[in-house]
Amino acid sequence: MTRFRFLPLFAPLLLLSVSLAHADGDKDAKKEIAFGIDVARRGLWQEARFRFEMATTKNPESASAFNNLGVTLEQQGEFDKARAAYERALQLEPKNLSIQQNYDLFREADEKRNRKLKKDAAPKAAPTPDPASPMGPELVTVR
Amino acid sequence: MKTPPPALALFLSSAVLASGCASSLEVPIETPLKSKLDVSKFRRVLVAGFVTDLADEGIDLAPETSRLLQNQLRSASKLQVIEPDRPPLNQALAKAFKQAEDVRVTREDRDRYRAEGERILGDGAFWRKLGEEYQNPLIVTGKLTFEEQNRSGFQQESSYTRDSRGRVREVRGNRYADRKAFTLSADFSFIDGATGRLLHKERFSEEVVYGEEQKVSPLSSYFELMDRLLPNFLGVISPQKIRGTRVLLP
Repeated sequence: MTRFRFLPLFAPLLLLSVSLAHADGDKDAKKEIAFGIDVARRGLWQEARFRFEMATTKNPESASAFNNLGVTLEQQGEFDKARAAYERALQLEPKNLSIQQNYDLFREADEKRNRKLKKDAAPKAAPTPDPASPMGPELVTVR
Repeated sequence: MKTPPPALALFLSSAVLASGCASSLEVPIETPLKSKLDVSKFRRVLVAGFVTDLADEGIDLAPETSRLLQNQLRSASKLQVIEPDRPPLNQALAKAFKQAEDVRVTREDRDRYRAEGERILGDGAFWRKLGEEYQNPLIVTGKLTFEEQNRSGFQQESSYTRDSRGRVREVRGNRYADRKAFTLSADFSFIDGATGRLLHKERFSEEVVYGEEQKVSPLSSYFELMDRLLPNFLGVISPQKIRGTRVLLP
C-alpha cells in the first residue's frame, strides 16, 4: 500500500505531460497542414499529400488533416483512399459543413466515373435492321 | 449606449467574416478519368470515313466529320494522325455504288447504300488490308445520321394581367409554335489496323431544338452538336479530366 502513496502526487504530472505531448503533436500537425495548403495552392500535390499524411500521423484526431489528405488523394486519382480519408474526417467532425461538401462532391464525381465504367462493361446490343418503310419508294436528289 | 455608425459596423462585420473565410481555402482540382480504350500499342490513328445516308441534310457529313475528328485528335491525343486525301471507307463505298450526278435515287438505293456500308464496316479483311497500307494504325470509323425534324406544335403559355380591382391574375393558354430539331447520331467503331478486329464500339446521340425566331443552318447546327459529342468521343482513346473545387481546412 505504501508503494502507491506517491501516486496522487505523480498523476497530475503524468496527465500534464500527456496533454503537453498532445498539444505539441497538434501544433506540429498544424504546421504540416499550413505548409501542405501552401504547396497545394501552387499545384504541388505530391508534396501536399506528404505533408497532410505527416499531419495525420502527428495528430490522428485532426479532421482538417484527413479532409485535406482526401482532397490530394482525389486529385491524384486514388479514389478509394480519398473516400476513406473523407469518411475519417467526417467521423472526427460530423458537423463540419466544408468536409461534408467535399465528401458530397467527391461522391458525385465518383458516381459519374462508376456510371461510365458500368456503361462500358455492359454487353453491347446486336444491331437491329431498319424496318421496311410502309411509305413506298421516296425520291430524293443526290448532291 | 452609443451605437457605432453603419459604415463602421459594416467594416467590423466584414472583417469578422473575412477572418472566418480566410481560414479555409477553395482549390480547383482535376481528377483523372482513364480512357476507355488502351491505345498504347498504336502510334498512328486513321479516321477512315463514315457510312452516312445517301441523301444528306445539306452537308457532306462523312468528310466534314473526318476532318473535324482529325483536328481534334491532333490536339487531344498523342497518336500521329494520318491524313488521307479522301476517307478510304467513302472511297470504297463510292466505288461500289457509282451514281451519276443529279440522279434521283429511291429508298431502295438508299437502303442498298446503307447495307453496303454496313457490310464493309463488318469486313475484317477490308480493315486489315487498309491497316497494312497505313502501317497498322488505330482505325476510327462508323455510321453517322444527321436529321432535321419538325417539332412544331402547341405550347402552353402563361401571362399575367390585372383585373378591374387591380389584382394580378395568371392567364393560361396554348400557342402554336414553329420549332425544328436537328439530331446527330454517331456509331463509332475503333478497329485494330493490324488484325482488322473491332476493339470498341459506341453510340453517341445529341439533339438541339430551335424556336421559330432562330434561323440556324444545318451546318452550324451540325457543328454545335459535334461540339457536344466530341468530349465523349475523345474520352474513348485519351484520358479525360473531371474539374471541380474542394475546400482545404487549416
